[in-house]
Amino acid sequence: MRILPALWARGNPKEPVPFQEILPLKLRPFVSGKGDKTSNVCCLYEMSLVFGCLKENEFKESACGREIKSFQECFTNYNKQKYITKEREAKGILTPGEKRLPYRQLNKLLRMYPNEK
Amino acid sequence: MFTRPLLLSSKLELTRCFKFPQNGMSQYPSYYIKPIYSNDKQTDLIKSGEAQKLAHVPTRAALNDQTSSIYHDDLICLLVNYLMKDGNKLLARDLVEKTMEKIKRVQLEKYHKLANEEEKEKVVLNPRAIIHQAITNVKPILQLTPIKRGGVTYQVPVPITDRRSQFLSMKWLIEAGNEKERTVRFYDQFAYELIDAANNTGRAVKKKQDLHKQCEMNRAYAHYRWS
Amino acid sequence: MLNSLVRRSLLRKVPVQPIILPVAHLSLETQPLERLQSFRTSENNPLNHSDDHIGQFYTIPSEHKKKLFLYGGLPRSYDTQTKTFNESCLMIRKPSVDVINCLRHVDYSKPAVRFILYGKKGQGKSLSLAHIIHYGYSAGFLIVHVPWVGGWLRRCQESSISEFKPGCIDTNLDAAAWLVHFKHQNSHLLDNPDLRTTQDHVWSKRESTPKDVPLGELVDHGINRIKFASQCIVVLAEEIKQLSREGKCKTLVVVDGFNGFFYPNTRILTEKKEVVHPKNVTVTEAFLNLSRFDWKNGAAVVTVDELAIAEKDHISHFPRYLLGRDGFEHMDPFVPVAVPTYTKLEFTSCMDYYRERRWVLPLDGQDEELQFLSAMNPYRLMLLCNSV
Repeated sequence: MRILPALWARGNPKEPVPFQEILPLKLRPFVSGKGDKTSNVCCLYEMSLVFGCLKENEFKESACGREIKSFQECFTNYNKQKYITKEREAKGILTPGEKRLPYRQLNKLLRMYPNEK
Repeated sequence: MFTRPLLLSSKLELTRCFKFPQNGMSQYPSYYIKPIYSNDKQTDLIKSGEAQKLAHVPTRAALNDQTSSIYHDDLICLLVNYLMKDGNKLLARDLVEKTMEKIKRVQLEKYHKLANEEEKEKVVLNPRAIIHQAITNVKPILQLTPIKRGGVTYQVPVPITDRRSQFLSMKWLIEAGNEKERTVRFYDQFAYELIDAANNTGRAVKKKQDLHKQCEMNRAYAHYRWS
Repeated sequence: MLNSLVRRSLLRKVPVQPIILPVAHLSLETQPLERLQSFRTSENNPLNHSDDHIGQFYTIPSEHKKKLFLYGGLPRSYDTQTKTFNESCLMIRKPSVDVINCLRHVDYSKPAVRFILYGKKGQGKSLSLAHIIHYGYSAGFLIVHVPWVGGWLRRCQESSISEFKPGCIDTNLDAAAWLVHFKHQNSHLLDNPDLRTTQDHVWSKRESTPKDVPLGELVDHGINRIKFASQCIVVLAEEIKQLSREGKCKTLVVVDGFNGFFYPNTRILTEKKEVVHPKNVTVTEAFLNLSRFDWKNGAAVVTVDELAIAEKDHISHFPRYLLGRDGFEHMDPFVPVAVPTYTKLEFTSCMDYYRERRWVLPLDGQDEELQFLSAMNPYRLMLLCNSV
């Protein structure tokens, strides 16, 4: 609501505006998990192969055995991997040297080394 | 933290399904193992010595249709369950048995009409084999899910798990069996549908192919998936 | 003597494993041996059936089947099986062989012998009767065959008040249908000029059948004039008895579900919706007459079946209960023939037949499991094998 202060303001505010510490200058001791949902879509390439093959063969699956198999394998592997990482995350196992940590692991680390004053 | 001891049956569960814990909606605690009721599996376990260990593990009670009969078939039991309405298992099982009888009669009629020995050998007379083949032929590879982007709901093609694919296959076959005239019996119509599906023709297979065509038409929306 | 010894030794060497034949053997016209496989016999003439053939299947020639069973006599489930297997085979079992043996050796100059086949539901009474009818036909008997009494008394097509007997009910449509059946079964004998009516029969002011007219004309009259069909049957029964007494023909009376004639709760109702007792149905009189022992040159083979009466009264399968006091006193003395469950030999034979017909696919441990599940009851075995 910047409009209201502007209505009440009288005259020009003097720049630079003096800094007021309203909230403590401290980072949160945890990370939110909202941004963790990756938008990497799995098996898109295999799916496109399947579609191409089906279109060529008038949607006869018997002609597209190899592509369909690779697509299904991709999906099952993806699911397996997802399950394993989920299990690991739930257990809270920290692997050193990881590039991107999920939020649970990060929070565990932050709790291990809290920011104390 | 309580870690489940990895028992024989639960290892099998892990390799198959990645979604649900062993408990689900069961009345049993999660460490109860599923019963092993097949004669062959029991003799194998006794020979390997696993049976001694499993004998002391709390086991769930076997369901009424988990029999040690040589004709026990998990897929047929599943089909009976999908067909069942309001818990009327007796009727569902009767219908499936009559369907298998009808399949045998239709196939035997074909068999007796053929004169050539080679062609006779090709006719499948085992009703269970036909049902298995029909279900495999009607399994879809992908499914469409509705995803909302910018106020518009798109039908997006998405990969499908084996379990769901099998369920859809059986559901379509049963629906095709239900699309019948008033005077035709369900088991007769269902038998004809199953035989057609085993030959890759018929209504259920058409439904699957229509789904695939729709997926192919919507392939551009595949990027909308969040996975 | 030597032949029968050889046959008995072959019988003992029945193999335990089912014989799975190559497909070519499905047509059986060119087999010279009497015993092709352990479960089939090429002896299709029931005149020659004996104890040696027990447990084996024989084929009813299609002309005989059409002649004898076109209008009923074979159970519906058996009919569908026949269509699927492309042939009609019957198993030769002990009860029917015993009755056939008796019929061969009975002294026909003595009063008529009555046989009662009894057994639990699904044991094979109707099919044993079918075998006996086939024997009767082959041996030249005049066959008086009621396919199913329950069809008349519990599912009658139409009932009307009798003109000839006050207080009785006629079931004319069923009666006319039966006369067609009788004519069809015995057409070769009704052509015989010796069979003639012994009395005048007056139907109404203008219609009558005079004496000394071929029996076929009496039957035709009943078929053409449906109004008199029930009375025609009663009259026909008396005529047949008289002809048998005179020695002009030998008769075999075969009734399936005879106890239906003594069960008080029929489903026939008067106009006032009262239940009609079978003794007030005209047709009953005819068959009770034929099953008495006051005639010779004839025999009566009858089954008592629980299925001929209402379900709430399915308590016991024994003749004394099913016939009731009146029925038992009517039939006494009779020869009771029990129709038991399958023996092990018969069971294996049946399973071999199903496997040979490709109805049941061979699988290890099949016989053992089905033995337990069906309790050796032929009908239950058929139901189980349907979905196998």
